[in-house]
Amino acid sequence: MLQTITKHLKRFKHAKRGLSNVIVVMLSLVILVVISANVILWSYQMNQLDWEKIKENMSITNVERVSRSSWFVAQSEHAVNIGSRVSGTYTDTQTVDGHYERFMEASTLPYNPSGYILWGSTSWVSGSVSDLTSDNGVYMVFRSYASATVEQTLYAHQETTTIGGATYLLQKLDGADTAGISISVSGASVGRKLVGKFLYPLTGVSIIQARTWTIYYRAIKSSPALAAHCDVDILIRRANGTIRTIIAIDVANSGELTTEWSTPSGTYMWSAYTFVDPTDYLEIDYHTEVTKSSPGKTASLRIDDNTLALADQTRATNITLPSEFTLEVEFTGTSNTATWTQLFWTIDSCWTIANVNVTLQLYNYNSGSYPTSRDGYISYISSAAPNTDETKTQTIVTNSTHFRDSSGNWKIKVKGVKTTTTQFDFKADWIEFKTKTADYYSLDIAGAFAIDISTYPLAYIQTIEIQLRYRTDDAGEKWYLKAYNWSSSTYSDSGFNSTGHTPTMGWDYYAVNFTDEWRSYVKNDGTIYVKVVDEGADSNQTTIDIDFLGVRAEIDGTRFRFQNGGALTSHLISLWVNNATDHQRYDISLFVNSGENATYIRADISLPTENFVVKVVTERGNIAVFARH
Amino acid sequence: MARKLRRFFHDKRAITPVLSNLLLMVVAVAAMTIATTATYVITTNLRETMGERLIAEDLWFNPSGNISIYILNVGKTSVQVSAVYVNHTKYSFTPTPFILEVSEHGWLNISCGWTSGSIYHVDIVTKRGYHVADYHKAP
Repeated sequence: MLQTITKHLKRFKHAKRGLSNVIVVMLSLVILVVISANVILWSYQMNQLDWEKIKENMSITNVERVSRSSWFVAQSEHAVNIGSRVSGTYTDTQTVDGHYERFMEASTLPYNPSGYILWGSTSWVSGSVSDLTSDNGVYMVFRSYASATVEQTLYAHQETTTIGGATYLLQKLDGADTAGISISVSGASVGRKLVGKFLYPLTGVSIIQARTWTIYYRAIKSSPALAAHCDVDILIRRANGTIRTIIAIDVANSGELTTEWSTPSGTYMWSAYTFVDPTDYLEIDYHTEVTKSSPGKTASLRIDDNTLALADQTRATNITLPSEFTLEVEFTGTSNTATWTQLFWTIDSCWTIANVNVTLQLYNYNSGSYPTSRDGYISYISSAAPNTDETKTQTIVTNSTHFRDSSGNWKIKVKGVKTTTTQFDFKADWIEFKTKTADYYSLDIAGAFAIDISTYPLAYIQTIEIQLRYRTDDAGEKWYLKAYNWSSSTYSDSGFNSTGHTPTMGWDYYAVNFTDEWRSYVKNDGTIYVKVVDEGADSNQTTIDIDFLGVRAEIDGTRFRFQNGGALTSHLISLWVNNATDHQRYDISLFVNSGENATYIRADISLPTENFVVKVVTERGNIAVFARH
Repeated sequence: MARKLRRFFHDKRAITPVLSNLLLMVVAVAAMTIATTATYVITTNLRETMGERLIAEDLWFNPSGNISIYILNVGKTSVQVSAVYVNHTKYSFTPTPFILEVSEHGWLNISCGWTSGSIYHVDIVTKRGYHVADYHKAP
């Protein structure tokens, strides 16, 4: 065998015609590949396409008008705002089947602030009192104000900041923190030479009181032949880089510079200046003024040198800047006037700076003051980590009604104080004033529902309907359905066709629709929040069983039923609704498995009232027809 | 050096076989290139013709007096309608040119009047010769 192969190879090696044969065969193969790829394979594919088309068997079994969507029910557990869940789960409220979820009224009633009052120069930053209803990380934010000032020193540093596209050096309250640099100017000509522009942010500073500033310059000149001294310009610069106002030019002149490093100084009488924008900067431009030139000689200013004693560093002193910031805000709210057995008040909040001395006080209407100890008073130092939520709560058992007025109003004051040069914010997340009574029962439960807007686009919904099937053990109390109004950010039943339902103590249906106000109650993504609430607190502790709670959309649409009797999955790509006056095509994309039925609802297709023909077209090119005459 | 160059240019041996081999190679490559290209062009055209599939999703004797057909390209290549025959008579149509890429669809309006109750044989012909034809009774 091996010998035979070797013999063939030798013959091939010596054959002169072998090469041309190979080339001819290779080129012929290329042509064959082109032919088979373009013709034979393609022919196979098209045959397969035709075969699949023949095997398809799609039919329309029914077409009918639909005026309502299917019910959309809760997909997560209902939130019990007041009361308690006794038994069952939200899945028991998804169908009318006698399986129910039971809730019971409770005597513990929570309240949240409905307003706020700013104390001192505290300012509101963002959020609203509606952000205070739950511990959800959505904050109402307030900003502190400078409550004390002290004469401070601004040291010249070599760190920089960029505002308005220009780079500036910084002034800081702390001394030098680097090895330092010397900034030199030429002594070749006389005149004022800019050494550097130094900024200090005035965040939280409302006024700098009149004082005599002393500016110290750590400086040297390179030759006795040179005469020079230092001075400054002082101005206020906006955050966009433009100058708001020039305070002084060529002031705080130092004594003559020497050929040894020294720290001469000059003074400037600063008049009180009130800042118009908390984002402004105080700018001190250090200059060296050459009064007698000497070619090749220089004068230098040294900054940010931590080997120097503080007294030898370049700096501006006696500037009155904030040393303490304070924040005070009072939250107000309403409650009830029942006889309370206990009162709970809770504040969940954080501060944007560490270790703030915080005081929380609940107003005592009996004494007419905010308590400074015991009931109604909480004091603590906030977390060492800024922006850390902390929950502070207190339970008042004795004389709890002293903390409301005759109408049930209450107020809580939050005060934060810290000795710091940095302004800080207070971020309130959740504030609750909760009362517990012996015989004052109420219930408030809420659920989230989502309309499938891909099937029922909001543009084709006419209104929304809610249906409740329930049973209670108290026929004397009405029950209400409310929905969250996304425009006013509150739960409401304004615009509903029915408000309130009196139970019969058997299974009752209570259905409402939102009439033409429905759009306010449906979020753009189809979300609807629905509440079931009682008439108000009363002396009976009522139990309510909810068998069904759902929402649905009222539409003028069409339901199509398709049946795939073929052996292959069909992809439906278009739908026709034809009548004598119009032939209307709709794009669809619906896959129907072999042997299965499919229901397809279109809220945007309104069936003609007279005779019509409906056609559905598959991707393979088959058409199924349904006619109504 | 000059002597060597002179000898090279006066040497008549081996030039003719080299030239003839080169010429033969060029002719062979050119012939095969033409053959391959021709095969590709012919088979591509054949493939596109085989890949044409059209359906008429809907035919509407519309109240404006014309006949409109909604065409869907369910094939594997783009198509261009070249002619429309109604009862074996050629009619103009809009839009022109009427070209549908794969999976595209659109109305083809035939400039042909219709009479209620009459039977019409409508035949759509593509540039490559594919036909979609059917009888339709006007409402």
